[in-house]
Amino acid sequence: MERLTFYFRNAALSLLRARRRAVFAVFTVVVGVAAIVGLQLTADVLESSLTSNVRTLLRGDLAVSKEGGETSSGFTSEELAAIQALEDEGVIDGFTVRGTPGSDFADFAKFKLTVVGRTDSDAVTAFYAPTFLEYDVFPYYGEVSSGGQGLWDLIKDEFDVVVTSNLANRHNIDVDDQLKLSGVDELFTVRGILSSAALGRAADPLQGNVVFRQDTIDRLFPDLKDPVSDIYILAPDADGEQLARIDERLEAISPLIESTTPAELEVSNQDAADDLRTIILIFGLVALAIGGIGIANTMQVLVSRRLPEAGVLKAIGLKGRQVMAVFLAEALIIGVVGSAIGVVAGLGVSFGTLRVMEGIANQNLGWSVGAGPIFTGLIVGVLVTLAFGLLPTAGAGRVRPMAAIRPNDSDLVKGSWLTSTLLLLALAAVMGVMVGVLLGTLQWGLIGTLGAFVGVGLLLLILIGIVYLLSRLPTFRWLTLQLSFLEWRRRKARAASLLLAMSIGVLGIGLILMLADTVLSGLTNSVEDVVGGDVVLAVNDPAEKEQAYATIREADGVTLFSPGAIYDTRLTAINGDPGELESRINSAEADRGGLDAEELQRVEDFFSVVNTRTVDAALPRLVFPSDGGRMLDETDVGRNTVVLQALSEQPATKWLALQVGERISLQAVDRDDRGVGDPVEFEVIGISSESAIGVTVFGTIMTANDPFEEQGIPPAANVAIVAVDDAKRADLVRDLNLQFDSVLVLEVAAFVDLFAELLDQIRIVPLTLSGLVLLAAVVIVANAVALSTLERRKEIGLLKAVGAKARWITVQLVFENTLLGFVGGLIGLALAFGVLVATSILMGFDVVASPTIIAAVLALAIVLSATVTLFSAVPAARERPLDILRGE
Amino acid sequence: MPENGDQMTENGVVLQGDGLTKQFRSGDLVVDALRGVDITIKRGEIVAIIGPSGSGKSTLMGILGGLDSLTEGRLEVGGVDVTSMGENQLAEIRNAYIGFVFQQFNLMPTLTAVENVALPIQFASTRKFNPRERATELLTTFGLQDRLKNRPSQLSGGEQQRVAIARALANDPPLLLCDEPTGALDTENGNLVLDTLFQAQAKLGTAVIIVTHDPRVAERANRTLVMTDGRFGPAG
Ligand SMILES: Nc1ncnc2c1ncn2[C@@H]1O[C@H](COP(=O)(O)OP(=O)(O)OP(=O)(O)O)[C@@H](O)[C@H]1O
Ligand SMILES: [Mg+2]
Repeated sequence: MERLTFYFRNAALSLLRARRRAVFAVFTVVVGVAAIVGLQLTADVLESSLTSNVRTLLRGDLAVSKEGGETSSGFTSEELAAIQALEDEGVIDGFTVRGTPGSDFADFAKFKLTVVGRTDSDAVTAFYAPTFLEYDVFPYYGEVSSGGQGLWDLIKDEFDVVVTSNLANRHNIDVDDQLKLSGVDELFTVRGILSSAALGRAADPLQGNVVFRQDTIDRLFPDLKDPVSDIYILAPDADGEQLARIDERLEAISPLIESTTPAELEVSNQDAADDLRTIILIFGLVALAIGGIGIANTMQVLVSRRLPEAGVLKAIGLKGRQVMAVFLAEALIIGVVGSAIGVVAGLGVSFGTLRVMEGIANQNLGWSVGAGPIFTGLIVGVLVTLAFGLLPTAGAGRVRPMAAIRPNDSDLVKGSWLTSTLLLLALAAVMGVMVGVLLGTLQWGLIGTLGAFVGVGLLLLILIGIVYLLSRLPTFRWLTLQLSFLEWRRRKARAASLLLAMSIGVLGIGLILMLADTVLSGLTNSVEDVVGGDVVLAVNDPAEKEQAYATIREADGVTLFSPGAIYDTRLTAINGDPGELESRINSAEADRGGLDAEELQRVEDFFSVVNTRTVDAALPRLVFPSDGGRMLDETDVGRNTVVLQALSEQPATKWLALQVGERISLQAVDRDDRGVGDPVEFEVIGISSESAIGVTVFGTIMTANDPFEEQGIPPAANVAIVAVDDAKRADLVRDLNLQFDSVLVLEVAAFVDLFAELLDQIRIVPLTLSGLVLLAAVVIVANAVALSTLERRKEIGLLKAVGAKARWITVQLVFENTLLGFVGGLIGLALAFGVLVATSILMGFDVVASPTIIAAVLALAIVLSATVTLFSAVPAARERPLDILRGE
Repeated sequence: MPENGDQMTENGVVLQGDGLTKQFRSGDLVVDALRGVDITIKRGEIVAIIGPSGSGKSTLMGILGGLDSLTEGRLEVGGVDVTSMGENQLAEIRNAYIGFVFQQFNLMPTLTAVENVALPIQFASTRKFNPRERATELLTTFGLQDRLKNRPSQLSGGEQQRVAIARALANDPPLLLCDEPTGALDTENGNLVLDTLFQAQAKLGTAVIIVTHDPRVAERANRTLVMTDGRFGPAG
């Protein structure tokens, strides 16, 4: 009992004496435990919200959606009739739908929204999801409400709407604001702001929603093309088996129809939750392992500093294991305190993560705290701390008692490869069992952990090699550099571990930033290449066309104006022969006996819009393979030639084996897909190769002639591409939007911005976590520096005794370690780049290495290393030489 | 293993070393720190060891106190051969039979004076004293009754060294090893420490080996050994 009191009192007081170090150690435990607890709690909440109340998630007893190609299409009127028939037959009690204008650009342009009374550039938008819901019916299950009021308490009048908060925030829309739709004289009134999560599956996280009464939209826009995108089925009395039968009948309507029963959703959500849990757990374990390394190396510092003290304890008769216990007690305290704080921090992490996820997943997730993860966090935190603390504290146990008399000797600890190796194996085994228990598979836990240990070991060996090679670089007789290289060579292992910590710390942040940047710039580039201007516009009311176009032509700063039109079409024949089209469809994917329904849909979509263009600089910069022909040019004006733009690796052109030089017949169709006028035969003069991020605004088919106009067929919309000087653009866009009710003017950049916003949201969680990991890595670096200054105290004392100034010594230490930090940062970035390239090969996009990000991350690595080195080096450099040489 | 101090001093010999040799090896470099030292210490005797720096005095103290291993030779503490004892047995020997006083005091910085003195008793395998009572008693005899609850950082060097002596004597060991106990102190404090040391020695009958550069210490010793180059030379 007395001894126990001694162990813990001494440990607590020793930690207080080494306050900063202790805080470091506690911090690394906190990071690990917070990650484990936070992520596990998150996984629990996600799992329960994904698998309970599935009917609320479905919003019905079954939910039906339609699979589309690149351009997803809604339900056709025949399909809706078939579902109506099921209701008439009594198979289902009823159904309700979610409507949207779909991806049809002409329809999209009709929903240009203006906040009445405002003239700022945020007053107009079309980037939102118009959502049409059946009054007082949707949803069958769960409630959509805001501020305690249900959706249909807010929306009563025909012209009432509610807006989701993401859209409202972006455009400063408030309750009671009035909204105007292009071509509709009546004004809509905003009755409420919904959290986007409230809409569940119906929400659009990227753009935000405006919810309209479906009957109002049906009356105002009878011509929308297949506006129904989801169907919710009511069959409250059906049991599981009956639901499964209804499911079958629904899917029998069309191969493209996908119906989901509660049971199916539960299974797929459970699978998703399980996968998520594994990913989350692995991430947590990595954080914990880094925390563990932080502990091991902080304890190493704590122990190394007090080896003489350990020697004294031995001199007064304590046995090795008792001396070890003295230091292990410190690890235990660090573990307990760190785990406790980590649990609290973990609660915060889970709360924050869930709020972010709500924004992305559009679901109210709530927040609940189970005892399980907290308990696991505490146990795991303490265990890991003890396990990783074992190696350095065992060193204290093996201290030579002579350390009491000769505290400045370099080999105070009796080296034992055997003991160290055994301890490491024991550590790996303990961690392995723990990981196994957490992952639910002991075998893989052990194998994985051992593999990780071996991997880290190999990595260290490689890094030692790198350190050695670097230290052989020319120094140009620069003393500071010479001394640094000398020191690196002398302590290769420590330099390598510093590199490892820094590179792993930088890897996460670098990867996330670079990945987001690559995706974004890839998108920006594709959009720019395809659009060929910075503003696109659509005219809904032909009456406004001439005046609007004249205004643009005369406007300041307009450098390009490229008008055109889009027509809804369908493919009727190849080379003038409808049979040829038929046979190409049947011989495509011959091993499967022709195209399946989804592929057919994609073929149909591909030929569903023809874009008539002006031949000018706004033509998209597409890439053509060697046999792919060319872009439209002057020679095509007035001729029926087309260029086809492949969007994916498996475009309709490949299925149909279309070649340059062949002819395709396209017929204009009305909104109900009925042909109008005669089919027009076009010669294919170019088929572009697939672009990485397929983007198209006006469809995939371009021609420089307008044969449909000649037939007197009105276009689905008149469109134009405009290039405007940066300085004038925003004003021009705003003015046009406000001046012409039926003209929708969009800045191309706004679309990319929207996407960037979503990307920002998505990356908050990984960025925060990897920021924490970087901090933990910095702690490790700080410890490594502290250790090396400790080992060099004598040398420093000598240097000072022969007259070196404290400042010179500080500079030397900072230089040495900052250089290492910089190299570590480089390695981390190189690793991140490697991962990025691998991902890009898998996903098929061009990698962008932004100099800004690289510079920023490197600067971060340098600043952090320099700061932590200063932290450790200044006290070391200030020590009085006498104290050091006497071995104080 | 001897059971207590009285039994082990039956023949009056507290410590016996024959041909004690210690070599340090680092790479090709071999340092002969001790070259065959013979030494016998009798109960209650005060032996001073003097000699130039680097002659091997501290090395010898480490060997005699079981802090370091021998390269060659044989060492008996209280009639028991400790030459080939294991770590843990040696620790027990150090705890029960040997007290150390170092030049740098080496008190535990986290513990008060009393706790420092009580520590060796708490870790004794067979306990002869109540830790706190014994510690208080020793410190009081050393005139530190007002400093019992102070930490080392709140004590002067002289006071710290007196606490260290009390700690060395806590288990009433038959042998005290002091390596330049006044080396880090000014003359006045040094004298006070020496007075304390000899006073306690007289009272407890502990044998003392004291390494020193101070001729006055040698005067108070029963005998003085001169170490040069890892050997004892002629006295004087
Ligand atoms: N661990 C060691 N490794 C290498 N050489 C050592 C070691 N310990 C002692 N020596 C060497 O052994 C010799 C004796 O050293 P020791 O410390 O015993 O001398 P000393 O007489 O106590 O000197 P001082 O009066 O300066 O304390 C010295 O040459 C010393 O450098
Ligand atoms: Mg010495």
